Amino acid sequence: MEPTATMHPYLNAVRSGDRALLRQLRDELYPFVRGLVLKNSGTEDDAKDVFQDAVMVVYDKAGQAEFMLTSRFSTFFCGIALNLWRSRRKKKSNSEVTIPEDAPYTDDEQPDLDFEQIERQALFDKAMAQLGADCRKLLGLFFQKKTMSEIAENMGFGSENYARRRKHACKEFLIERIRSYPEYRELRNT
Amino acid sequence: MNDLYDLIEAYLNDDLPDDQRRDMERRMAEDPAFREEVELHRQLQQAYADPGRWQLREALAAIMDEPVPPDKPPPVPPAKPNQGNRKMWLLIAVTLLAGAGIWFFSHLGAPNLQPAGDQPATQPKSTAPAPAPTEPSKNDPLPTNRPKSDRPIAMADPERFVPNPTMDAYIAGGVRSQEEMRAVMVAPENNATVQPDAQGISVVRFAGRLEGASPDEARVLHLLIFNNRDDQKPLLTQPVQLRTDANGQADFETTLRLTVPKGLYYFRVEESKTEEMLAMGKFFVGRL
Repeated sequence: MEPTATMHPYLNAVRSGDRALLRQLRDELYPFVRGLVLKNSGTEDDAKDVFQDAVMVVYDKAGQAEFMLTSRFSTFFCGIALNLWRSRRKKKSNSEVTIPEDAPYTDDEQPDLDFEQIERQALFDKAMAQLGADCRKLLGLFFQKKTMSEIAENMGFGSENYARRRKHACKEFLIERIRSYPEYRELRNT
Repeated sequence: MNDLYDLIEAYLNDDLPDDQRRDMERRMAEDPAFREEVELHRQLQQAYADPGRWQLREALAAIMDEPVPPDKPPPVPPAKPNQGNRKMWLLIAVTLLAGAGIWFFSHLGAPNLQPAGDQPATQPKSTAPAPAPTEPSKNDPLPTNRPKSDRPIAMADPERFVPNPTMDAYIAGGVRSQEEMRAVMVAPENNATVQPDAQGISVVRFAGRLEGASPDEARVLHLLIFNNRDDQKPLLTQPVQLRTDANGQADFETTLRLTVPKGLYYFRVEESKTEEMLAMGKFFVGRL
């Protein structure tokens, strides 16, 4: 879904990647996520992961044709972050996050979250970030179903054959990285 | 490996002839490792089909590595991003910062909680010795001798909205005294939101009825207000008189004018002599 003028500014920012507004979103809502995570045995890095993954969930939700933001954005966002962290804490140490179920962030507007899908996507992104910039760009074009000819031209490669070999090498590296994470095995077993 | 990847990608793109597709599906049914390989390729293809997704991930990673300016007040999201005039937004930002600064120096301080009625609020029990309570006055709602706080009232600090599990447990579990008395609250509704006015004053009405009490015994109730952080030290303790109507029903009502930061607040109704809890609830001043 393309951003529209009627969408909430932060939904627009997330869908369009507007960095200025994303910074504003961070300044406004990261303190909540950070406080939540640090108070519940998490680290600063955990908090950053939860915040970013919550933004990615917003991106996916806002891209659904049937999606409508019917609560405050902050309520919607904090609910996602809270439930994400609760899910991770439970998986990690089987301990509950000390926020009750009737927290104001988990109201009726709270969307159902597919935690397995969210964790899988986060894992893929983590592995993707380990690749070099060229590999990421090449795989991005490949996953967008560009032809080998288009990829070769875009990447400045001499031939389609070379583009194909590079694509295989990058993809193989990506898959190896994904399989090296213990979380991947956990995801497979769920 | 190239052949295997080519085969899987052709299968996922529906480019295989029927006989090869059937072979693939047979192999997937018989070989879990092969099935997992195909599934992983399919998931990757789905995950990165949208280029905007990865671009957002990269933008976020960069932004999260940037230092957050200390004590930066939360900005107000513009109604129409991407259409604004940069100078206009700069002007608005400067105006907001100036307003926040004026607010900071003129209104900041510890919560100011004042009953709107005649009875003065008592200081928290655990704070002694305490200064004499401020007489409520609509003309002078904000005393000047309040200590400095670290945040302007206008800023909604998300931490002030985090629920308190102990007090929530009391609410969830229900409250009844040893004498089987309890206060049934009529107002405020649980989880009600009260919006502060332009001066930052939030008017909250507390009303209810006492059930299970002997009608012959004169009682005074205490209404205690807590923030979301400390369930031991009330911000305010307000005596509330009971009124018995013609049917013998004991009602109570009081209205408080609160000058507190936006956040989640809890209230407790106690029997004044025994300090037994008779009711517990919570309300929000503003919202995140």
